[in-house]
Amino acid sequence: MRAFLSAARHLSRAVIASLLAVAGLWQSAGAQSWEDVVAAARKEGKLTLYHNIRPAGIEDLLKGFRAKYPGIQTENIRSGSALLNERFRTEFAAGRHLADVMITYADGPFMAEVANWFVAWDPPEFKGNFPASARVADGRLYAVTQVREAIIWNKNLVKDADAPKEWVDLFDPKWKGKLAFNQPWRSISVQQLLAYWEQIGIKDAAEKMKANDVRLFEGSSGVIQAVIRGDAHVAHITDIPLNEMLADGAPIGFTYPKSGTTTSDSVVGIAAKAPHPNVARVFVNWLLSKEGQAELVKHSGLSGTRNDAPPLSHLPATAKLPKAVDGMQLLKPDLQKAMVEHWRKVFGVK
Amino acid sequence: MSQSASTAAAPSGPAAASRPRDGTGLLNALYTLVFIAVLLLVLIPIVALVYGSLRSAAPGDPGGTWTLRNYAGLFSPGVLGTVLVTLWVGMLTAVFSVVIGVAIALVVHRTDFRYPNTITALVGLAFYFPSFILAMAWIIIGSPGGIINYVWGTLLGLPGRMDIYSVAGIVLVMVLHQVPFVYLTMRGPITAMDGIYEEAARTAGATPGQVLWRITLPLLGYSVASSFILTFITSIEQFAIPQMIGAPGRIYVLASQLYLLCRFPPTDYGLAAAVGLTLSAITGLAIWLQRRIVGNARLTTVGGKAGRLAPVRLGRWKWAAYLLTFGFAFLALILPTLILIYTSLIRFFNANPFAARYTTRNYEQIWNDAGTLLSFRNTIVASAIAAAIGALLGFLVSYFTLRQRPAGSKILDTVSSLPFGVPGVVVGLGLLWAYAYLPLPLYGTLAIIIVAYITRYLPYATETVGGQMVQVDKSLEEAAWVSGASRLETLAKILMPIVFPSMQGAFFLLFMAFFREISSAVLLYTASTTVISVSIFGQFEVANWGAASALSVIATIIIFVVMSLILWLSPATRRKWS
Amino acid sequence: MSISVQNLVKIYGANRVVSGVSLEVAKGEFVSLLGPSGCGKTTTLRCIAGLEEANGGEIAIGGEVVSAPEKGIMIAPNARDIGMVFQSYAVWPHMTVAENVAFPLRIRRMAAAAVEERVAWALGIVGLAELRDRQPSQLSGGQQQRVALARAIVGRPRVLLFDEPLSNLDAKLRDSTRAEIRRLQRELDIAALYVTHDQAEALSMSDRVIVMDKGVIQQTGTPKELYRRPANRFVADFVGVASFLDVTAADNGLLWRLPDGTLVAADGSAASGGGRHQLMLRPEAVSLGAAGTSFTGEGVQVVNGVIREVSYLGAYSEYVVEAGGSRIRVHANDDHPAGAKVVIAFRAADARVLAIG
Repeated sequence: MRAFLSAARHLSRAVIASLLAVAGLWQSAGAQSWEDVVAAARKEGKLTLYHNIRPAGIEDLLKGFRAKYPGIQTENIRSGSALLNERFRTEFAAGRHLADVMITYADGPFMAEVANWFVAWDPPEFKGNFPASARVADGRLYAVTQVREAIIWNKNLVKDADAPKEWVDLFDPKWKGKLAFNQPWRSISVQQLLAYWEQIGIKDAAEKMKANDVRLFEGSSGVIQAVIRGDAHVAHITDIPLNEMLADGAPIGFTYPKSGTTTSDSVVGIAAKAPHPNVARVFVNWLLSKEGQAELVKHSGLSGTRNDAPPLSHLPATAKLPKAVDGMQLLKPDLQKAMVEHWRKVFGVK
Repeated sequence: MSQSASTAAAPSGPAAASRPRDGTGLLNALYTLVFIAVLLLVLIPIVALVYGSLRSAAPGDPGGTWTLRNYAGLFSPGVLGTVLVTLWVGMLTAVFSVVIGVAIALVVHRTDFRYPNTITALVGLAFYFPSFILAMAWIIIGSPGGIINYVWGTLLGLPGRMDIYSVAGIVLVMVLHQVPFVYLTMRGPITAMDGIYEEAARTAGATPGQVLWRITLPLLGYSVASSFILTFITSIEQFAIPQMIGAPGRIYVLASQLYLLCRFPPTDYGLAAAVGLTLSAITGLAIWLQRRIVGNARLTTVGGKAGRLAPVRLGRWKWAAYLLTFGFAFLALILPTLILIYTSLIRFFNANPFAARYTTRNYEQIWNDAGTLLSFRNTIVASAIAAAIGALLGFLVSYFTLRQRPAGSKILDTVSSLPFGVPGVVVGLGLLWAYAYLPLPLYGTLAIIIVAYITRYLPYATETVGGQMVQVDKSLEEAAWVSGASRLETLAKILMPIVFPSMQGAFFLLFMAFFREISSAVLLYTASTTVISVSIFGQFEVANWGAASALSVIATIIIFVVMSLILWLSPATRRKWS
Repeated sequence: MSISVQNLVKIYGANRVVSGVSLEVAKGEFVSLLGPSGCGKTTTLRCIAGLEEANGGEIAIGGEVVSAPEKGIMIAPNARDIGMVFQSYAVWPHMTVAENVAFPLRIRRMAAAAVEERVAWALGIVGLAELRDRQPSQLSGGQQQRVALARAIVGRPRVLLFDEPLSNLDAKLRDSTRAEIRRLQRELDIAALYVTHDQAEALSMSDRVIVMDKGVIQQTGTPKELYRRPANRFVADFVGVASFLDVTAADNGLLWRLPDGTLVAADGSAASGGGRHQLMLRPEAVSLGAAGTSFTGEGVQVVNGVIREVSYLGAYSEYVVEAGGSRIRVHANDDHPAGAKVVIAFRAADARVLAIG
């Protein structure tokens, strides 16, 4: 018996040692091929990024990347996610492959094409650092930042006590002509919220908004600027610009309704026919690294998705919100199409 | 040879050293080249649009089929409503612009107004103020939370609110933008008017007011009508102002609707093409009307000798004149500039400058942003190249349609003036469609933006150079021919040097126009080929007012610096514009 | 012949602007093309220059055929080796005087030194040597015209063509420039064709004058021939001033009956057989005297009349006299009041009968 145990101990040690050795080899082999990728990236020397990160932050973010990987030039186009996806779609269909990496919100139509448009791969930084849900479409997309839907108001014009705290408060006639909203046909995250409203029983939102003389603005930045200027007193926004504004000292009050809010992840993917595929890999990997995530949070004003990403300076983390629902699951393509057409019809667009 | 005793004998050297070459072959080749180039430039986007309007899918998408549903879509209430709004806005803008523009021109050039040069300079500067920058400034000024409401409502406590997000708001900003054009085009006819008719009326007993109504304005009738139509056309072609001011108020014109159809899902490039053709049809019709009214008279923005009539005394009316002229300059130029500078220096918008928080980070960001610097570089390069090619093409087209008139020159004349009636967004869309199929790798390059610019402004270049060319006496060319020069040599050695000032003028005009151009680039740009107007518009679209204002301030400074430089360097142009 | 034109035809649309014109200019000869505007003289000149393409006929310069549309020959103007002076001078504003004059030589690739020599010579001949570096805008009209002249001759062309070069100058300058041009042409011994509508200019400068009207040549001849013996009413009226009296033949053409029946003798050599006739009288060929004055001389005809109008013109007075049933213009130095009964006299040889219609 003792001999068996000691043999077993030796054997297990040997197995473990060899496993470790193999793992070590594997890792070093993996690390070596990653080195090759980086070397190839330096040779390619250029990154073209299509993204929806706020303009004031993107250059600093890219600067951080360039500091870590000198010799790589970066170019970027920034648009709202809807426009961005459209541009990518048009260019891809016409065979004009200009984009390397895409950071955007994914909706149904987008997801339908993901298999064609993006490359599946496993970035070294991903494993063990992110929740499983952050890996989308078999590794073609990875969640990098997260936004939530909130209600805001101008603190100089509206007392906190009078401010709307729930979604249905936005339809209150006392806000007639003083309500701002992001054009729903422009923004996927707004569409996700609207789908949530349907689910929790808020009906005829479009008509009610129209009856309240809602003002439509360009994106969440447009909405928050409108509220700051006083063009509107209250609004719903996706909280993309909110942190920065609060950090600047803008007189904005906010709340995340108790009845629940939707969350939306920005995803990053490497284009299937990227002109600089290796640079793309290096960049995406960097975005997922601890350093990259910190830079991302700092410069984009959005929550990070990595497990140990630092929190935002002025906004609560998603875990601390009363109720947070994953918007992606709610927005089915047929529902999305019907909703967009309905809103466009109600507001007389096209 | 008989010799005269009183004067020196003629030197006997070789007679003609060689028989003059007949340059007709080269000239014909040049003509063919120009003909084909212009035809391609102008017809490719138009043909592509017609093709696109009959297709069911996006450009380049292999799954498309032939369809008429885009034309059916034109009759949907949405599009029809947009057509009506477009026409209404255009009409209002044209009426107000013409009234104000003619009034200012009359005040400055026909009365004893004391600051004609100042106002001319200010109006000239206002002409160069880009449309999208003006729109942005006025949104800050006139929006519900803007400066006017702050001063009127909060500071002064008066009732009523201004809301720029309305048809009235769009018309206001469009008028501010268009009046300089009316002023500049009416200046020539007004100063060139012979004072005889007015003198006769005065000696017959008419008061100055009666002279104005019954003599002066009717005499200017054709010029006013022409100016009205051209203002109408530029108003309905406008993209940036109605897009930026109209969208929050859900007011759409054809140009902004076209943009929406191409940028926001669900996109409909086919319907956009049909909309574009409709818009071009309207403007084309208006152009044809204008040509009928004016005949073949070329548009001049300066002209003639000063009228001999003694200026009308303003007397007590001079305060109204000051209000009109300086008021306009204030609203169209000075106030927007101040607002932009202010907005570029604050963290977030505050109508009270004493309570705002100031920062220089917008300017720092521009300095640090490689993308913005690239944008500036692209703008200068594209504008300069396009302006040079445009001026040269304008010269050649003028020559072939005005002087030499070989077979087919009438077609060349018609084709080269077609782009007058095609709005910028439509040209952009047409090129988008065209280069999805044509084998030339122009999409995504600066070249396609240059092509769009040249296509749009070719008629202006041709008009500018042609205006001087018709005044060149034919005998100057004939003297060269009988002296032994071929037509080609005459073109290069005689004609071109003589009309060079107007070619310079055309280059200048085009360069400035391209610097401000947004509508043709907004559908064609990519990451590496952004131009300044698109950058500013992009910043505006994400409501990044600080960055947009800072960029606008810098762009405006550059425009004014370049303008002053060109004026200072070119005495001919200075004379033209003084 | 330096210039030889045969049956030149030029048509614009439905108009035959030049209809079968034939003319010749010898070396060293100065010929004017005279006529009212629209008569086709400028078109003829421009066809010779090659600035218009003829529709028919033949043009030869220096013996070389330069235009023969029926034979398919059309040599471009820059190959015809001509010098031309335009009505508007056509001096190029972006070149100096010297550069203007040098152009025809430089364009033909003449060596620089030879160019210099020729330019100096040409400028010397027209008297502009010290203005060679001026810009045309700094010159007066007369000086610009001389630049154009220098430029036309600098290439030693075979012929010189002038297209109403003096009509933009004022009267005094016109006179002196006329003389200059003639002197120059004689000195260079070069054939010159000169288009003008001014009959005084044509008469004073030319060896021969060709009068044109409605695209056709009316008469060719020396100035004296044209003035004294015009072939028809048009030439008589265009070249100089005249009075015309309707007359009918009497006594088989030896005598002519004036409207009031008076019979006079006249030069009937131009009178054709039938048809209407008029008697032409130049005002300076008619003498005027108070009633009762007697005039004598060979072939002198005397008719009674009454003065209807008087205009005092300084060098002479012009009278309109009603005599012989017609109105006759008379130039005279003595004073006669309007309404005075007078006697007019003229020599038969000075009274030319012309066929009308």
